[in-house]
Amino acid sequence: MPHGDSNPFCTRFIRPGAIPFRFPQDQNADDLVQRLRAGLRGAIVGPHGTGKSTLITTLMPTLRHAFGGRVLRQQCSSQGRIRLAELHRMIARAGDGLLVIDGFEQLSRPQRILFRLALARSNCALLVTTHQPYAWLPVVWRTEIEDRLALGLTAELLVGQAEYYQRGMKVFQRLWAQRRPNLRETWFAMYDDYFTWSTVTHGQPIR
Amino acid sequence: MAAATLAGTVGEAAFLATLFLAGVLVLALTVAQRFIPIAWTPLATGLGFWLLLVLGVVMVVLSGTGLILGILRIGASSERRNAIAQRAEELELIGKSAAEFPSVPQDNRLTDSPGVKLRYRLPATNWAGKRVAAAAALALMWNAVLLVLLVVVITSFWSERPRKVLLALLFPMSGIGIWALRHYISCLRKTSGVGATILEIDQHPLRPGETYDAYVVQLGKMQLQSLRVELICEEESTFRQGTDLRIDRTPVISEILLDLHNVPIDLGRPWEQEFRIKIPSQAMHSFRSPHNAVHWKVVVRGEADPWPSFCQSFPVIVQPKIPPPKRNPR
Amino acid sequence: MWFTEGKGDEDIHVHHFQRYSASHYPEGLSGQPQFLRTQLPVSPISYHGKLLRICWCLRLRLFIENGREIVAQHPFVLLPSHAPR
Repeated sequence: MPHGDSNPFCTRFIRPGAIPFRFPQDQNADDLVQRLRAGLRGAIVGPHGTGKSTLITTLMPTLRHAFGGRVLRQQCSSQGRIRLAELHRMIARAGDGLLVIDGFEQLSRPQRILFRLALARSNCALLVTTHQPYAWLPVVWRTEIEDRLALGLTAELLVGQAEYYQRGMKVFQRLWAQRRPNLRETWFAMYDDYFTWSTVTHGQPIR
Repeated sequence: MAAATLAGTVGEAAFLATLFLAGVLVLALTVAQRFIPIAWTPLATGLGFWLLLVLGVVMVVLSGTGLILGILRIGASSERRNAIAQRAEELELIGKSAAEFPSVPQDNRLTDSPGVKLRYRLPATNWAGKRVAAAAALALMWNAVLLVLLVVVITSFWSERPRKVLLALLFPMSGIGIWALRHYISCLRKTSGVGATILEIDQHPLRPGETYDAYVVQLGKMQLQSLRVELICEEESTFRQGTDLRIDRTPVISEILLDLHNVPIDLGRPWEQEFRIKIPSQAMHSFRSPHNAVHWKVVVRGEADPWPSFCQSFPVIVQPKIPPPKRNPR
Repeated sequence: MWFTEGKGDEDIHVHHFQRYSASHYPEGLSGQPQFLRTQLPVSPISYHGKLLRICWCLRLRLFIENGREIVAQHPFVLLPSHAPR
């Protein structure tokens, strides 16, 4: 939870894992892991900023427990594209454990085909996060953020910001309407609003 | 840059481009005549074949090298040309921090070039030749392919097996080829016309609360509608947004050092102006960590007629003020 | 140590690290003040910007017998050497 004079929307408080993933009332991490264990392949599907990386971070302890500690996580990003050889090495290292790939859509189509072929020759289980589903990967979870949850999480970030709270929630609703369902993007926009507000209210100079 | 010099630059580039394309044509014809069996008598692998082959290769290599060197010369003084080989982007330019000032980038490469009037000539981060190089590469590669295809079509007609579809395709391809060449010449004229911006400074690195002499020179042949020199301190943050890496930049100090209107740059006589740079006493020093940075730079922006607007950025390093020396007890 | 805070990913830098091992204090550490001395660097100075803050602090991490950890942090401001105190 943010504290002191820190911007409540700074990366420290909103990065994946800083706020635990909130499962719906009738679901929990064990259900998801059970679905994964049944098929040994799975995809967490959802648009940008809907909590895929947060879900993976929250799941990691349960996954480690379920796969006997042999869980390897790989982050793919638009910059510094990962090499296929590295994925092959990870499959080998995971053995009969689990390989988690965050941002699977960042791999090129040939990379995905070659990776799938390599995976078929191993005993390794696979969990990926992706923006769109793939026919060969059963969807084990779809991330979506309901308005009520988005408002609730924002309200939690604003605990201790009594002066800004009212304005913050009002601005959030406006920004969320424009950026839905990307909560992360909305919070980055809130970062700028909080800065503007604190500069005007407290005259906090850049120093 | 004087009109004569500008015409010379464009003329030289046009000559080299023509030579390059002629070389490609000679090579294509020679190879076709030797290896494609058609109505004509195949060229024997004798002295004539090798002479034509060498001539084609020499034309392509010499004109290609000339074009590359010509593009490298655009907007650059001789010192800067020399520095181009060592310098790539601002990141590399600024380098790693020195032990004396942790997290403050070093300035070694910023003080490589001596100035004419003041001590240092600062290197700029924008290289005007990039756009010309891209346009040249597009024009020459497209037209080289076009010429090879032209040779294939000619030989097909010669051998009485005409490739009519390919011939039909050559017309729109020629249109694109002419457009690419015209675009290249236009880029070259614009870039050569605006000319280089030179910034010199009497000391470097800079320190908060101190004032420095600086000197700016703008080359080219144009009427500047406005010219602005700004001192900018900018924060930069890199953050991961899901699987995307994003960089956000925001200026936190922006101080106009010079703001001039209707500045004529005469033929062969560059516009020059001395001015002072004062770093605010409470300002943050330059800073770099893996995901965050504070950059200082002097930016020269101009709106020119008939050329497009230009903007040159000259990074500088602001170090923290050095602690006063301890008093000798004696 | 200093750490960055803001829109960008966090960076941290430990300037001075000192470990107090339990074997050096057989009677325990409770109630005994410990003194720490280090020469601070000239940079980076504490900074409060728009995208970025640079915060200096003294961080204490206590490892307790049953595997628990207690982290306490005391912020301080590093000023440029010429700044008025």
